Amino acid sequence: MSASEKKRFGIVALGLTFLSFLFFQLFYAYHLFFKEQIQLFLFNSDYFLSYFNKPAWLACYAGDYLTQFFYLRGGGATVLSLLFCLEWLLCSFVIKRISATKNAPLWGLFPVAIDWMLHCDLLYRVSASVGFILVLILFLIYSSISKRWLSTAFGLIMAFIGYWLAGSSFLVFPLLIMVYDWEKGRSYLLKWLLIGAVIFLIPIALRHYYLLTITQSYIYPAMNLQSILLRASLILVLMAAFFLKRFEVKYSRIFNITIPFAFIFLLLFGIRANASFDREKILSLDNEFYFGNTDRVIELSQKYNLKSRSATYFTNMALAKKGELPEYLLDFYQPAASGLILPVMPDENWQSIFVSNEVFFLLGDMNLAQHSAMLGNTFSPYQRSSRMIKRLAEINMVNEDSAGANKYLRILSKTLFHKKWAESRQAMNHVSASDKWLIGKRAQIPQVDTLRKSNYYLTSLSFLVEQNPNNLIALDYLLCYHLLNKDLKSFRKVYDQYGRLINRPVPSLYGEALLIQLLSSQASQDEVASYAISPKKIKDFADYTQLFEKTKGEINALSGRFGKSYWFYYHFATIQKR
Amino acid sequence: MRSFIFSAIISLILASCSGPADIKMSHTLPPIYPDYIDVTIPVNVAPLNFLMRNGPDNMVVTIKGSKDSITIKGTQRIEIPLKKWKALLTAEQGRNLSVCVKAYLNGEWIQYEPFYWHVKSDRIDPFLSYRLIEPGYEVWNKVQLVERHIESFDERVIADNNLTDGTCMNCHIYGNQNASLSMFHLRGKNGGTILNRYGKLRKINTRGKEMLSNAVYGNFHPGGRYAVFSTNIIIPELHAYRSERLEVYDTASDLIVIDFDKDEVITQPFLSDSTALETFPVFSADGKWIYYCVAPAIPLPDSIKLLKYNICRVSFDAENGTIGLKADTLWNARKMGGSVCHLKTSPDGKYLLYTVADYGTFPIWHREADLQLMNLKTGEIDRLKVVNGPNSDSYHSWSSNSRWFVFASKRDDGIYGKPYICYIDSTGKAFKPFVLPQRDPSVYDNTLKSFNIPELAKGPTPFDAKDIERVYWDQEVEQVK
Repeated sequence: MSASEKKRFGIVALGLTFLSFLFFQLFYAYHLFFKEQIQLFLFNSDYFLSYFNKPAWLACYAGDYLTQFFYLRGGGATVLSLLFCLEWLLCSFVIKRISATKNAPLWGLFPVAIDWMLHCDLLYRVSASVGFILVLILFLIYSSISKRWLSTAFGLIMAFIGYWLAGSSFLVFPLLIMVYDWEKGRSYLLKWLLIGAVIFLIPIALRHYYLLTITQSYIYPAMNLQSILLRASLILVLMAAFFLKRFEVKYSRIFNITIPFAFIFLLLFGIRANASFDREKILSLDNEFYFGNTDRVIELSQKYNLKSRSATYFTNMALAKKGELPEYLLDFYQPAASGLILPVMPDENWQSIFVSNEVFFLLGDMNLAQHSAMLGNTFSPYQRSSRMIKRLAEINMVNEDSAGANKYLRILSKTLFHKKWAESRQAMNHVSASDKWLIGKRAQIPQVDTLRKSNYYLTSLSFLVEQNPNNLIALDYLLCYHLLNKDLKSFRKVYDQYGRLINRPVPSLYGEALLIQLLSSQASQDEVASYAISPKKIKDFADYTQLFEKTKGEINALSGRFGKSYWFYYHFATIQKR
Repeated sequence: MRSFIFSAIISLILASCSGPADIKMSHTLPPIYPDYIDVTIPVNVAPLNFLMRNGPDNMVVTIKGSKDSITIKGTQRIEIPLKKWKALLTAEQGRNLSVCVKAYLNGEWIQYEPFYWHVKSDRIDPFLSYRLIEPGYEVWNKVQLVERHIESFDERVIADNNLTDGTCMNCHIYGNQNASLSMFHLRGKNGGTILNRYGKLRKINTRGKEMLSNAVYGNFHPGGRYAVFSTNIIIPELHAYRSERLEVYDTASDLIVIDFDKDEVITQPFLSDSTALETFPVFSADGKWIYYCVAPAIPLPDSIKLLKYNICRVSFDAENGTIGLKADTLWNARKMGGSVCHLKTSPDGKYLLYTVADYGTFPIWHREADLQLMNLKTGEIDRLKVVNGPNSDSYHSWSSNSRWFVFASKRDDGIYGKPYICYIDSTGKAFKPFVLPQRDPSVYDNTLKSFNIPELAKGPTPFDAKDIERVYWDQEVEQVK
């Protein structure tokens, strides 16, 4: 390699690593956190052996090993940027070895752009990239063998074990061999056919052993068909490099400009097509809530102003945790009551089910939290989620079920990054634990039993409040549930029974709702006064009523001053029944 | 310096060799998992590998019989060599094996009190099938039916819902512990009850006219022509109190018999009316009786704690395919103060094994749910104290010689069911059960699946996941009349 080539390699490597790190750290970090949360990597022989139940054991084990580092701040971006750098380097070597093009470092960027794009998908695994890298390494080994019989033998051995090691990425191997041999002026039809047939037949032949469908057997360890773009991109790039090679001396400047430009275009197009920045925002709310940063959730939610049920869900929980739900509920988008609790239903997507336990855990309904966490784990892509296992451990600790908690803590103690957490929880995993957090959570749980359907949230909230009227979060959720469904009668009943017992000024939202209810029930002055609603609120209500009558309910006239009031919601929000 | 290095090396060698020679005696039993302390095992079981919970650096285990012994070394777990184990068990049938555990812990060797494995010459049926599914909640994503060879650690998936469009699969049950006669329900749009009758697979829609649902809980007639089923409207609801998790109850349930030769449903009006809830039917060993659970219909879920199932039986005439007109009560829930489910008659006809919970019909989340054994000749009931654990014990299945039964127990953690194996001698005395051995016992620690409805069989099932995939996608469903 000449000095200028080395320099070129160095610049591209650094640029690629830096750019990809920046992208994933600044714009996609919460996706990477989430990817760690939906897997669980154990240091245990039984767990290691489980990788042999499916193809690509080496790629999957290495990929999952690397994914656990996504737990660390910057860990995911570091792992991916280094992987991309390695992938690019190997692609460049492969392209150079096959096509002898001078622009191999530039052509090598295209598969990386595709892989970068694919990594924007929540279900795309690091294993898929590792599998691809393994195949590139195996090909480079193959192509460095000069003896024909030895390379054929190596090719054949790899044909039999490549799928086992690297999975479906290995399907590109015979094509690489063929192009390489062809380029070298060797025509080994029988060898190509033999190796190609073995490689393409192995997935279908082994699919029942690995219990995969036909499609799965040709894309594993990836989970969707889009993943074949990575392999296809390498073949396309090889073809392009091969056919355009003759022009590269004459038009070297054009190549030097066009290829990076095309790479950037492809990358931007791919990211635009595959990345979900709204989901990144929602995941940021999720993760900030999960790590207890409630102020940050509210701040981000205000900034994003998303019209999304999931965003509302995390915002509402953050508000409730701060005791501010009835103050600021309507400052945020509210899709009726469905932003309070995410349903666990067959038609819900797995991400929604995954986070649905958070609200029940917050409310102190440990059985619904357990139900949701179990299902969150069951429907997560690998059915082994570190986050759900942690939550299940916590739930069992709160329920004073030491044996149940032990089950999960023991699993977590076999991980690299959750071990410390498990050990600290293990220390307080007993009935008489004096930990403040645990005592607080245990105080929330009901002392009697009842049966309810998992999606009868009103029943569950009412039960929680009946059992523990001081459970302010549950009470606010119940009251807001009624308000968002415009059920003022039920709201007032609950407020009268429990809300008035709470020692706090009448929250803004409740005051507004009470005024409507009191007016419609033609309550006396004394009755209104007994609620101690602030005089300012009463005056605002009078103003609102006056303006409403004056403008004959003109929405634009009212939205400016009163757009975030319950009166406005009551008049103008339309509730759609699911 | 050289002499210092030399003496350091010598000391290290001595320390490593001193091992079990320098032993501190402990008067406690070793903290092993699974609990294999003083258990009774069949001569044909796989090695009882175990691990130590106190995390030793090394361990040495000596399994000693009257003539021979095996010594195994490990770090925190042992893996007993299969060949040596088999030879030892064969040689020691009817005798006890002593197990001596020495562990290197905190810089010293400790020898624990020995414990014993009682080897019975009565063999257990060598195959066990179970469903691997996340526990409870009546919801699934990935489900497998698995067949395990009890004499080794070989495992084979006989159905996988990844190949059948993600549909739910209910548990696989055998007739007479015969692997050539078995069935399970495969749900979904191409589903049906998969009937394996002497190797031929059929897919049957078991929902006939005026039936509440498809067939649910079932059992084969010893002749293999008939099977008795319940049909149930099943409602799952969640508890609110601490570790009480899920309650599942029927708002309606009936009994039917299906004649697989004619594909006909046989009913009896008193077993299909709305005043009573009938479920968990099984045939007697001679096929002349149907045992089942029945409770009067009450308002649910309000009165769930009053929902108590009795054991009744009604005659069955296999020649004419008719169910008797009158039922006898064998176990009166009101008098006995509990609720019965999961009846299983022993193949020798002597016993009826069942689960008793405080109330309801879904004991897997009932901590108090225990197995009981009724002597069908004397009516005597054994509460099986030595068998039952602190959590739910249910879903049992007999070995064909009636000397062993397997059941699902949540005794370890209260959440995940595992297959436990129990010996019953010729007098009906039950012995301490043991969990199905695994090559690596930490499988049980790491798994997030329950071993659901373990069923014993004399041989391997004649189908596998590939056959089930073909039946699901390509085979026409047959409709019962």
